[in-house]
Amino acid sequence: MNALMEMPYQVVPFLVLALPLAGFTVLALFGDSIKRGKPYETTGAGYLACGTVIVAFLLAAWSVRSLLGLGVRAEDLRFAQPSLGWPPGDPERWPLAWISVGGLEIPFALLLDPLSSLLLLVVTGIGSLIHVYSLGYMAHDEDRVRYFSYLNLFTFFMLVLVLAGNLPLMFVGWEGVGLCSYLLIGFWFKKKSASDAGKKAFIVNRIGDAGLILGMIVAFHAFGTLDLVDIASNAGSLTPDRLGQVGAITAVCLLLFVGAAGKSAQIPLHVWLPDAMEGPTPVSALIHAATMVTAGVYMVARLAPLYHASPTASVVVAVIGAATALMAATIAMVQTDIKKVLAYSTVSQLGFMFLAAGSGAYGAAVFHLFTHAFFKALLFLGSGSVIHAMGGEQDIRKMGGLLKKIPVTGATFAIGTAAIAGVPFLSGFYSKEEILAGTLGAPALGPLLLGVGLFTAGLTAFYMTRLFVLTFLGRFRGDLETEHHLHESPMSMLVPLCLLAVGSIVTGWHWLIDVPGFLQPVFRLPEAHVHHVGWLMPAAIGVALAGIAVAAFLYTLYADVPARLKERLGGVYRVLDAKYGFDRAYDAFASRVVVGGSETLLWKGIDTSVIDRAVNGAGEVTAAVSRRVRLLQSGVVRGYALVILMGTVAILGYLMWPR
Amino acid sequence: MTLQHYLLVSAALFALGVLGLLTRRNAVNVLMGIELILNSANLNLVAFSRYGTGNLEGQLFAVFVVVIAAAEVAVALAIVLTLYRLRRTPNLDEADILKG
Amino acid sequence: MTPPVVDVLPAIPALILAVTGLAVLLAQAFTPRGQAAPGAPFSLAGLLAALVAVYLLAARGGGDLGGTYVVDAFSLYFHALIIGVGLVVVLLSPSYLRATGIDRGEYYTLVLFSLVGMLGLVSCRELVSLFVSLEVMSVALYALAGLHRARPESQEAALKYFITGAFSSGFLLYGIALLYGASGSTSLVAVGAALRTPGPATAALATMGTGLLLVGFGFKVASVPFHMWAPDVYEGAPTTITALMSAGVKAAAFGALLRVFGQALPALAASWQPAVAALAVVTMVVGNLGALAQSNLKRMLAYSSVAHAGYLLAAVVAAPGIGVEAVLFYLVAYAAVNLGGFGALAALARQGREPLSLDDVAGLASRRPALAAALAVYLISLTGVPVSAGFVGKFFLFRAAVNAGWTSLAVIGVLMSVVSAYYYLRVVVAMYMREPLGEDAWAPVPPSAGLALGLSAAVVLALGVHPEPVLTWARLAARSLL
Repeated sequence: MNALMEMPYQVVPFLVLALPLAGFTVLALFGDSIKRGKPYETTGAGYLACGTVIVAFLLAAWSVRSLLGLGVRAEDLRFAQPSLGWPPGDPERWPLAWISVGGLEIPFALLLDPLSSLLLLVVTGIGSLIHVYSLGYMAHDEDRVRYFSYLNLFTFFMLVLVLAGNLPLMFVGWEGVGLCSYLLIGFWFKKKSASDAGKKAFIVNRIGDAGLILGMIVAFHAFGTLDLVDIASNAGSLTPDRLGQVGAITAVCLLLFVGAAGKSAQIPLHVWLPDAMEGPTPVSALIHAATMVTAGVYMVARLAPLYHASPTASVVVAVIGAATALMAATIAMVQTDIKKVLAYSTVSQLGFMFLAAGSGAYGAAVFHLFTHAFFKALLFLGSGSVIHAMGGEQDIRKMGGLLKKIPVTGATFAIGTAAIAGVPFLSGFYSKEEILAGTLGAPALGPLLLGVGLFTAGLTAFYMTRLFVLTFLGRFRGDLETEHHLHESPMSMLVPLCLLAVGSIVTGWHWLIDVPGFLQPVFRLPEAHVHHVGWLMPAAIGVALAGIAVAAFLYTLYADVPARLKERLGGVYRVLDAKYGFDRAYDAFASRVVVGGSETLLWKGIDTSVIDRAVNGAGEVTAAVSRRVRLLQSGVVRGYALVILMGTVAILGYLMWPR
Repeated sequence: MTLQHYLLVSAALFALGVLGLLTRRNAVNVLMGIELILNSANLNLVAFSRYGTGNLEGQLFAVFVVVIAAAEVAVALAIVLTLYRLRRTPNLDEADILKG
Repeated sequence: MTPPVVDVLPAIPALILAVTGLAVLLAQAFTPRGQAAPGAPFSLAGLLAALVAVYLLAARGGGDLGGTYVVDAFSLYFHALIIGVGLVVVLLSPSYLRATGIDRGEYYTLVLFSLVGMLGLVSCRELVSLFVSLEVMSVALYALAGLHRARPESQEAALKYFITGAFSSGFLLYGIALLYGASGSTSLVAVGAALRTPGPATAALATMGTGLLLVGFGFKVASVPFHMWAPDVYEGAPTTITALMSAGVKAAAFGALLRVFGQALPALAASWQPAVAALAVVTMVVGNLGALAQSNLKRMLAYSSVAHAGYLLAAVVAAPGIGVEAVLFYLVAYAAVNLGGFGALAALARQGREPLSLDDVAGLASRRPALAAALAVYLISLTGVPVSAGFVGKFFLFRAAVNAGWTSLAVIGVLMSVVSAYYYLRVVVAMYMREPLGEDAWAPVPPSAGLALGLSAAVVLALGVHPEPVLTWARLAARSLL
């Protein structure tokens, strides 16, 4: 490669990162004065935010295109720093080296290979569309400068996550997107439910982060490096753990998966995602459907050789994925809030991705991530358009017949529904079929996983059709005033919808974009042994059509059947409606065990009763010795001294214990 | 008299000091307990110096400790005095606004 | 026999501080009654001069003072840290002292004296100077904690600090005496050498001495179960002094702990390491759960400082390997954060009141945006979120524990950090996501305090983004301990 050809690789990823960061900086610094300024200034702020992301997308597309043209191997594409010839001297010593101490070298290294470039395109591409959509959606919110600044900051951190060449840098992005997600979920913080939801997301994700940090520490301990490429390329030379064995690889994989489960909303850490719908709808589309929540899948795929070396961890990932897919799909069947249905559907689809990754079909997992980003962003933006039209109403029981009133939204929503339901020739069909075929390659339980996958695919078709029918078909069930105000959304919202609809159709076409083939070299695995059983495709088409048919049948022709079913199956319905009781169990645990425990046990328990009693007890001993002092009154300072004494006795007892 | 005797006396003094500190409510008595603890350590230092190690470091140390103990008690008495002015009692157990 | 020639240069930074302290005292004596001498400018000048002296000493390569006081890379690291803490505290003080009505000259004298004690504590290579330094530091702090003579809380804090402090000093001294008996010397290196080949009686004395030393240091770093003074004293003492205690005393005590246990007691490591590990576990657990139940911010930060002593102890277990550098690095991060946290409360003090509850800081982001942002940075660093010094520091602490084979400590530490997110975050949420209650009752941030808080926040962020220089320095310091 000559110097000129090398340029884009060295500089472009940094430029792509710098743009949204610059946008955020400007908006954050001047946000207040912009907000107080003329209306066109506020609009300009929105355009600025969109502009940075769109330009970032163009740059990314350019660099990915030259990447394709060069046909280079993944190993060649690691960038420690841009070598612009400045400062002079050895580029290896450029001060961007982030941390380097005690055998731990963490450069500020970015990594651009097929996997990260695909994600790069998703983040900047779909991100651009959602930024544009937000121009229309947030046009009347007085705080939209703050909104756009958060959105830009999110894009920056998401790009750091995707482009990071080592785990600590990825973790910076990981935490950063978590922070932005928290800020955006709680964007309307005056609403209590919104700020609670933000807090919940933050806390649940911290549990995941604990796994991630521990995973990093153990990984460094076991492999001596935190560089993603090094870990992946060394994994092959390590002795793999056998099934059922927990060695270092399995430990790392499982700990990192805890982090992935937190970010990607897998059982039992899925509880935050449905609540996250309190945020503005474009945020749900960008963060909680297309990009951030898929970070866990991305990380697992990124470390594919590692997971491949640990069948135990892989099976755990696959089983959790399958269980999450199934559970979330069943909950989605009874939700009545349009965004909640989509939220549980996202949880379910993320489960599918983990099911694929755990089965060894990493290409299928990322393929589905890619197609899902399009159709789920489309569905969310569509639901935003519906909510916009309905004047803020989100209950699908009060909708119906909207197809005639808002035809563009309805048509694109139909395409999204068909894509996720698995209708042939749409993107979701191909990626889901790829996943189902991949499940048979799982280290264990293959047929069971395939069965659950197929069944869940049917459920998906069912609840999505139900959502579409209740929202867009039949007659309008809301009040007259709402009906009067129904209107199609502005162009800035419709154009992104249409573009995403096109994406939801074509991204699965092998002859157009061969995503699994494009990704194959990244995973460094022996040629995937996909068991393409002949009956699988007809079966997949069958369950999809069956699900659609049953839902269409139930909710159009026999509209009273669901209500009667609900009555007959009251118990089942209540379990689903209570979302299997996760929230209640967690609330009970958090409020009673953790907070209550620390209050009663430590504060009232130890500080007052134990110490008081201990002091009183010491008094009794003294009384026996001196024969004249009666029971002593409890004294706080002396209580402290007594505890010091007891601690001393314990330490000395331990040290002097004969061994 | 051997080293052991001194060590035993010192340990007994130490125990008395701890006991005094734990059982006395009057702040001044508690200060006396602290003095006992420091002096028991002093006795150890001097005894080790005389019978064990054969150098003077221990005795020198003891002189330092005596000086420091004096300074400590001066500050402590000042604190007890201000608290007494505020509360009109030398009772330690009544100083319990800060807790939890 | 010629008298020994003593090179006093290594003690110059401490001497500068001591003389400055005396000068402030003298100035107060010549100031008319009822007025305060200009203690802050004096002290600032002295601290800056001491910092220059430290720099010159470092350039000279250190030195030692007759076998009692050594200035090596380790001491220099702590000298810079402690003098830096002193600078921030002095910058925070004038406005706080005026707001709470305790503006008196002896305040600065006592602060400087306690700093002298801290400098001695990290530089001692011998047990007599260790004890003397410890007491110089402590006695000054007992008086400082009770400086607010009209407030019963302040008096109570001083009394509790003194009684428990003197009690644990007694244990420490007794332990020193036993170590002296076991080894026949008070020099750390000689003790270390003597304990390598112990006789049966010596071994028992040495083990007991080690345990008692652990108690003494455990008290100073506020490790459970020797921590019970900390919440009360931190709450009752003037807030700037709380900042000094949580940042300076903790750093100095950890410095002395590392030096004593690394140089005098490595032969007994197999027996004290499990004990320290146990202390680390209970300290992390009790500290964090205790903080969870607090509604008073000063008290919450006090329990949080207990919890952080636990994280640090987890890496002490891994000493003398990479544990030392991890502890050294984290102490800087931790000092910056705690100075900032307590300093932010102190900066808002007006007419004897300062913000202590969540309601007091509700909506602070709209009234004092810069201060709220800085406070959020400190709290985020305490939680250990990346791009803050706290994350990098915790990563190294826990990595040290894992490398030394104490994975369980790292696991507990990380889990407890998760718990801590809850109570730290509560404050950030109150500042940013709640409306302010009532009239603005707090003082505008005074320029000198603003400078101090800005400095702390800058250190936190700089260490989070580019920790390399300090890490390198910490590694050098750790190496000089061996």
